[in-house]
Amino acid sequence: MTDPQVVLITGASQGFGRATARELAERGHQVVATMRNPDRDGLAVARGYEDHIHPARLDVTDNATVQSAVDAALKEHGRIDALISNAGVSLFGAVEEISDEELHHVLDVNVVGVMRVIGAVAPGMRERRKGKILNVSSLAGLIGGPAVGGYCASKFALEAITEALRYELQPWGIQVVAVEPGVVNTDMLHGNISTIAAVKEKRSQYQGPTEALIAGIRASANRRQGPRSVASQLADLVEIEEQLPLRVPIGDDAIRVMQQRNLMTDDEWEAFLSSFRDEGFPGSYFRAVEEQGAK
Amino acid sequence: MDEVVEQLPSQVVVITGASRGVGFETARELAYRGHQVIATMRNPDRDGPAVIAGYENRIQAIRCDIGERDSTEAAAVFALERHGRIDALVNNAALLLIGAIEEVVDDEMHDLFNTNLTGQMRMTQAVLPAMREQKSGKIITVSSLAGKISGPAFGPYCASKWALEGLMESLRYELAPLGIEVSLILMGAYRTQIQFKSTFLTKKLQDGVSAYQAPCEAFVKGEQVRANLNPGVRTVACNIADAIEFPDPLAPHIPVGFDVHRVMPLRQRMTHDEFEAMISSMRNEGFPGSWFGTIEANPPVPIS
Repeated sequence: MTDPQVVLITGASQGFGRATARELAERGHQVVATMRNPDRDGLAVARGYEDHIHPARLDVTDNATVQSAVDAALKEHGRIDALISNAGVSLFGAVEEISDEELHHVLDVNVVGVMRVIGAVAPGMRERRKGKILNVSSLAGLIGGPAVGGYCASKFALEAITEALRYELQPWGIQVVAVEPGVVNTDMLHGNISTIAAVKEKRSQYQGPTEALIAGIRASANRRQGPRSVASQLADLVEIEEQLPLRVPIGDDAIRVMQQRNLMTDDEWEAFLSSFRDEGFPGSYFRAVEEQGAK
Repeated sequence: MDEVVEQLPSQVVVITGASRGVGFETARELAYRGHQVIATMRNPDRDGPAVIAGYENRIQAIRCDIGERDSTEAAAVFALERHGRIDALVNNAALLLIGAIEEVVDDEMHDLFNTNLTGQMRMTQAVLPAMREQKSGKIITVSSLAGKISGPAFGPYCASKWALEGLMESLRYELAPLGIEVSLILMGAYRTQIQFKSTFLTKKLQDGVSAYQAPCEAFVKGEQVRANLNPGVRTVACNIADAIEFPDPLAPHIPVGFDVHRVMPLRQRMTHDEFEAMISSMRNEGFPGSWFGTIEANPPVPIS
């Protein structure tokens, strides 16, 4: 059995972050559950595990809150054994119409935000010559597709950072992993779906297919499992004392896609993905294009 | 964990070997998600209360020994009488047998196969008439890396799991036209109790008279040390529950555990010669390194 670990999670107010905080607490670990608004969301996340889950304020886009949350965690617990970089935002909309600000925001949260927290946590891990950094990437970090280019850009970048970090931190015994969940029923795919302004204001040249894609992904997420497997898999990675792999795809779709993508040439893959007409990603987009034509 | 209220339709699931390990966790995960579970085990009087605790309205613990046809049929009848249908079967009950092939006796091999292969088939046959009538259903069978690779001291167990793979792969074709799905869980290294009973050793090993005593014991000891470091089986249970809820066609194999993701692509890309050289070069604690390491240190003695 693993000794109790001290784990800092970002974006722990909902979705994967919250489920993982509670799974780790259930297994007896100490969790610093960071979120932008712990006064509003902290109690619900910690309920029943008040001795194990410690909500704290951290906004990954605000360096001061990152440093103060990490300092407070180190002061309280003496160490951080594992960091789960989970905070992230989505962005739906065609590449042609993404504004600079929109792209900057998704990168600032999903990429620079991850780096900020690692920058604050890594020194302590290097000093102790031990630690784990688990980055919550996505199937969108492995493949690109229509109307999710901005989000994929951020997750591809996160994959690159993960790979680089592995080499950089390996000499200090710090393990770095990217996990790639597929489509899972979480808050990110419900009320909180972020779209570019052009889609929000219904003036996109890609309005029909983008809306079809969002509706399709929502519908398929609704029929899917919740975040419990992802949470349990992340908790396993915190506990496992062996050499961890670079990537851990989670869920039937992510595992299948990764296997298939690895076996195919770019041409084969593009033909395969373009042939989709199912509900969800990317079939609903292509179907809408077929039905409505390009403007 | 209690914050996610699943909105998916409630299903009726029969699980074998639910007294502990993967079966136990899966029964409780499914109940948590709102499903109805028939948790079968050999001794429900002793082991049932712990399984159903807190989920008395969703889990029924009943007796079933998959080694006996009457018992598997009675379990299916119980589920149908209570719920009117069976949406999924989780074939989980299994035995382990460790020992050199040279010394395995017929009875040991027969018992192993009667549970790990014929037992799974019996239980599957018991639920199929109902699923055929429903024109829907899922047969989820728990297998492991031992169904894909083999190694010293693992021969009988691997034989039973390879056989199970063959059986279930055939069943997939037979049942596809009926709307019944068949899938194998390819489970990696987790901490389960199966590794910690002495009854999984061959009689020769239990009696301390095996010609392969030292490497087998080193192997078992190494595996137990490693198993203690492995996470519990919650992730496996979650993945089985996901597969039962999954609305789209299931893959033939559902790999669970990062070691499986690592070994399988490697095995598929390597020739047998390459793979054998890699396995033979391992000197890690546990399977298969501690076997090879011990052989190297103490070459096997001829039986006098």
